[in-house]
Amino acid sequence: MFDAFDEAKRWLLSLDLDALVCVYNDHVDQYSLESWPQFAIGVGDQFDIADEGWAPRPFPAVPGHPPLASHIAEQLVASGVDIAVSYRQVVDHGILSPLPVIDENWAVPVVPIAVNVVFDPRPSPSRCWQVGQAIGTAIHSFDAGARIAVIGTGGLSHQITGPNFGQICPEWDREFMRLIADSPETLLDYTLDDFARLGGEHSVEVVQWMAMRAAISRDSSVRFAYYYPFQIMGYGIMGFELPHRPAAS
Amino acid sequence: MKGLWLNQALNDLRHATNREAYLEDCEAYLNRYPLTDVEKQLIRDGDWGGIIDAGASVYTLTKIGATIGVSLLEMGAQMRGQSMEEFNDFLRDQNQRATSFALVPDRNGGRSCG
Repeated sequence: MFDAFDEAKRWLLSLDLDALVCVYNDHVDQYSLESWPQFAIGVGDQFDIADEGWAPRPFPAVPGHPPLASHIAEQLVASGVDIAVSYRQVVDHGILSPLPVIDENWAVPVVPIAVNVVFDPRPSPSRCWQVGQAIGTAIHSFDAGARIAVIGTGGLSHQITGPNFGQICPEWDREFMRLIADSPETLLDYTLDDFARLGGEHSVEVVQWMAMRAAISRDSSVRFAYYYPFQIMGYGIMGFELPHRPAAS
Repeated sequence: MKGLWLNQALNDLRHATNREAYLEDCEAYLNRYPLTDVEKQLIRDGDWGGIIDAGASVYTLTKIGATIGVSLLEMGAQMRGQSMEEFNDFLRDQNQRATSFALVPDRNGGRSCG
């Protein structure tokens, strides 16, 4: 799997990106029981590392991209997605687990967009898709010269409570990866309960993959797709490439 | 919210000062919150599955694990009603079955990128 991460990292770094828009979920580190947003975007110029109970992991703060983040926030609200805005933010393993394997020394500024997959009520997979579409539209109306990638994070199958703790579902993980590549709209018919039944309760993080897929062109192609089921998690990584279009004159 | 104060008491352990207070005197720490006797007993007992059933999120539960040095896998074995050895056996068997679904880069195929 480390070969897969290396391939992803080399590819992303070769793209000379200006920003990574990272759809992830917070694990009750940034957001709290005082207010728990369905969707939230971080517009700060940097994000400190969360203390998840073990003291903060030894990383420098993650750089943000305030102009892009503010633009996305404005465009989302204008288009009917009333996203919460975080002017100060810490990031936890939802971002810090995937980011080091695809980035080096925080070379690319990050725009974190959090999705609630933890406390009910939670947004449906189809709503996450709609919000992803709105994110894509907002990115397209930003500076045309900017090079921006969208990342959808989250574990594939995992169940980390109850008598089935540790159970993974590799058949479903592979099927999900096939669907999100070839016919992502079919995933709109799934409920969170469907995902929980197929991949375990905590696999609902795949709605973040769906938001990513909705944000990019429908006819994007799969550059690579890797999967490794190990211990209590199905790990997947896919790279989607936008169709090449002639440059506008 | 079911288990509101249970979640709050657990989640406040993301602050180092609260972890120190818990380790110093866990009863005094728990008494800061309007927890029921049942909720307090679940924490004293380290009944991880019971804490989840009482309404806690696994993501607040992991913070007490971090505080007292119990890993998520150890919590998981208990939730399964297994010893760590039995749980490790399960994981080993599961890994063996799952490996045929793996999709990894071909080291010899010269697959390149960028």
